[in-house]
Amino acid sequence: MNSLIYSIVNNLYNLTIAQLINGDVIAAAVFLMPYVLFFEIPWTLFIFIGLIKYKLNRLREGERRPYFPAVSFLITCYNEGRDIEKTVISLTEQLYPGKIQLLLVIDGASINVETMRAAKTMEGWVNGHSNRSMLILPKWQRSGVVSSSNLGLNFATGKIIIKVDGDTSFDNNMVERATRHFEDDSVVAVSGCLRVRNANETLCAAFQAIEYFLAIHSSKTALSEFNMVNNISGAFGIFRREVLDLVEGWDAGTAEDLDMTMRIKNYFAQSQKKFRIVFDPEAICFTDVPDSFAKFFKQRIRWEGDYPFILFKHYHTINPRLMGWGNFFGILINIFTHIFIPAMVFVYTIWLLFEYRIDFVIALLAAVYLFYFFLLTVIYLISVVLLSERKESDLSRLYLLPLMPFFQFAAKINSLVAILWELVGAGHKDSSMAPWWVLRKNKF
Amino acid sequence: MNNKIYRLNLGGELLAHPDFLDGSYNSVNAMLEANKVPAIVLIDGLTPEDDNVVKAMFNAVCQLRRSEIFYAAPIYLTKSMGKLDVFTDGVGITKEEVLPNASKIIFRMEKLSMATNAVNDDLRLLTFLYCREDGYALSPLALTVSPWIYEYPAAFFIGGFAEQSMQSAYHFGLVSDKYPSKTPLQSSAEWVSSLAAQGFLVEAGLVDRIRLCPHCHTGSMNYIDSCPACGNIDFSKKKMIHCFTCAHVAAEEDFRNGMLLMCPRCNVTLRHIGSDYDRPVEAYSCNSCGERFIEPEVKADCLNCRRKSATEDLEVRQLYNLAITAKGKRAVQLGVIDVEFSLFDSNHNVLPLYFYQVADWLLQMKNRYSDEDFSLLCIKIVGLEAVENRAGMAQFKNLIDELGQRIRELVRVTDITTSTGENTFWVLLPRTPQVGGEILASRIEKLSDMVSPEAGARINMYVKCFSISAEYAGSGPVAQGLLSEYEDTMLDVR
Repeated sequence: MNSLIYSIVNNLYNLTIAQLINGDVIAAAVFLMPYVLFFEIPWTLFIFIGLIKYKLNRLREGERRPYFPAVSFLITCYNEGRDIEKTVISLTEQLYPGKIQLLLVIDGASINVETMRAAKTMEGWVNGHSNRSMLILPKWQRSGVVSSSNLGLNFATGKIIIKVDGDTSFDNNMVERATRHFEDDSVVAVSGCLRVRNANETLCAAFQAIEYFLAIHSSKTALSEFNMVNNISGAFGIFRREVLDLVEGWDAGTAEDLDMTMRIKNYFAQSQKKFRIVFDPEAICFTDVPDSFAKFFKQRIRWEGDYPFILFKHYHTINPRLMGWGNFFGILINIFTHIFIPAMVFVYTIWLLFEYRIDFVIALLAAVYLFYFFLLTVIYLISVVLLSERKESDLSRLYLLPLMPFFQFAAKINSLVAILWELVGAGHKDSSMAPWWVLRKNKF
Repeated sequence: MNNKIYRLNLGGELLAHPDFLDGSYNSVNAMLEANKVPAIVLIDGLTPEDDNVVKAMFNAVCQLRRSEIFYAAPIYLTKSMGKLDVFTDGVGITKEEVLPNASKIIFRMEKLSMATNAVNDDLRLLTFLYCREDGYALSPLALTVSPWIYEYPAAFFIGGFAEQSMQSAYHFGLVSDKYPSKTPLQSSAEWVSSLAAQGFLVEAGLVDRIRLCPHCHTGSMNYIDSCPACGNIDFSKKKMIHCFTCAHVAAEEDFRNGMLLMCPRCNVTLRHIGSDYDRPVEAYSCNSCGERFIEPEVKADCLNCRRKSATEDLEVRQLYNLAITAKGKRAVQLGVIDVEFSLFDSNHNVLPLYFYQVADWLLQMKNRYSDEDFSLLCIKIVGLEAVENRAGMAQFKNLIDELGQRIRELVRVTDITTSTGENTFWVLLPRTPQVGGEILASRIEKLSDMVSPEAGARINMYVKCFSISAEYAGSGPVAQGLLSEYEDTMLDVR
């Protein structure tokens, strides 16, 4: 064992210095590839700068001005049953002084009796609150989440539309945080922060809690500072009503959230207007994530598989002159992280195993791992200090950080599988978001 | 059968066919002057849309029911006046529609002396019921303009309550606490229930139950929730918050910190309902005295006298359909109604006429057998109205019951009682010489000290013993005349 470790360390040393001096370009490339490919240092720096910028702006924010537009929630429900009570309660309990309208669109209400009943029992309670109202919109025949959102839009009276899933719940200052950005006319939408509700239940959920915190809470806060937010989550998106009217609601097909973001971006870029999508890390939504690895990988196959589908749909508009350089870079980074990196990592690892001795490969991967772990820990700690409103809870998961690189690597391989599946088998039509008889009519 | 049908023309379109009419009048007065025999009245020329006609119709029914002859007469409308139809016997324009029922009423009326029965409102109402078919019942009607909410339509008109309501401001709701006390019987509902208590009417089904102000006995109550500490109605809901971190429970406002909730005790920010905090209860806080309470106190605020009462203190009135009893029918047939307040139990209480006969008979006995003596006690009760007005009908009845109970303890089973006026009662004591009667008289008189309702109102009983001299015997019935003479001497004591 000791000799193996010695051999690994020795190999590592020899490789770095010796290979570079010797001018063995291919060998050097093998070694440097992870660093170059993963562009992790500039990315981490970028996040760090964004977070500092956010923190300074946030400290200067000052008192809330008396701007309290009416808010309508489109709550898309399916078979959540009594879980929708949590959603309804946490929205009714918002500390927001303005009007809040809850529109519960229940898809397939004739079969989802339990959900329907739970909604009915909440109706009186909600309407008994001042400035809170609730309307149940039962769609007796199941027809998918997109039509639920578009149906709800017909009944919405608010100036701000917040689309949420039926099994989410919210911090009581969420609406207050979310709405304040709309006082600025150029803000068309606000992306809310998703957190994991069942983080303490399983190891898999805890990993996802860390992942959500890094990929959403921390990264999007930073991206938002440079106006590079590129997606508004389908589980939790906040829109200016006029903008939804302009793009005429959500479009049929899966990944409607990403699609909506793209269309908003395109619309504003085409009309040469300044616009912003803001991410607010304090507008917090809690959601349950898959509690087993099997369910997790299945969910990711669906999500990641949707990405190339949306790019394909919008390929003619992916152009810096049409959508602006910031957004264009955002898309490029996305393509890079979603398609290029998973493919690269996979091919690279396989190639390494074929081409080099096992101790050399292990040494190289160990170096990559240590590098990753270091960056991960740094950015996690910085984010907890600067951003987290639940520091104790986030720090309680620190012991999982050493395992995080493996989790992420597995997720990336999974992404690759998803993309291959998409390209081969048109997986986006294999979505649980709408029944097949609706999806088959979609153009894409 | 010779049923006369008269038309009362109120000026609108005439619908009744003139062929079967025996007369047509343009006013109630003209009809009453021309006819001294009861007949069927058809109110014709109605236009329900015209307020003046509606008023005229209402007035006509008032006048007819208050008259000497027509108070029990069948009154029909030739056109429906909607809700007002219940004030009459029905709607009809042809003989077939009107006669079957109306002729029965007339038939019964003809057997009675309408004028004799008209002297007393109680008797008039009983006569009205007597003339209707068996099974006819007075039904309570909710009248929103009435301060007592429910009225019995027939009693409403016959008792003059309708007339009163036209004169007073009562349909504007401007009744004061003085208004109901103008008449000793406050509403038609109260009147008929007192007749029922006296046994002239019997309950024939419960219709409704209402609650009245215990002070002024009217029924427009506003049930208002108020602070249990100071009674102020200005209070607001206070949401309570329970902090999971330190278990602190306080009103939401204590937790409010700008746009966040922060526990004032442990300084933790409460972000998520269900995981950081919950709402244990909804409480109220008085904006006047600051009292915190879970349930506001509901008080009944009387819109008439503006006195607030606890809901359990309200006067409960059960409203029944009421039908005439055998006793009521007998009173109608004899034309006499004994006002007795059930002071004496009915076994010994007789109608005055019978009382006089017994007295005359005893006088003959006394004349014939020297050892046969008897005395008469006259009891006059003064102050009953004052007690009734002050304490209300319910308490008044209790008082009378108590008084009756005590008197009955003193009176022997062989004694016969009657009452000749509202407050005048007679006791016939057979085989009792004047001395014995005087003793009893003084005992009964002392009862007035024992029975006194509240401070301020007091009942006084004056009792006097009379003995009829044997020399009056033989000159025919003298008791009635003598008794009224004796009664007059009682006037001095007032």
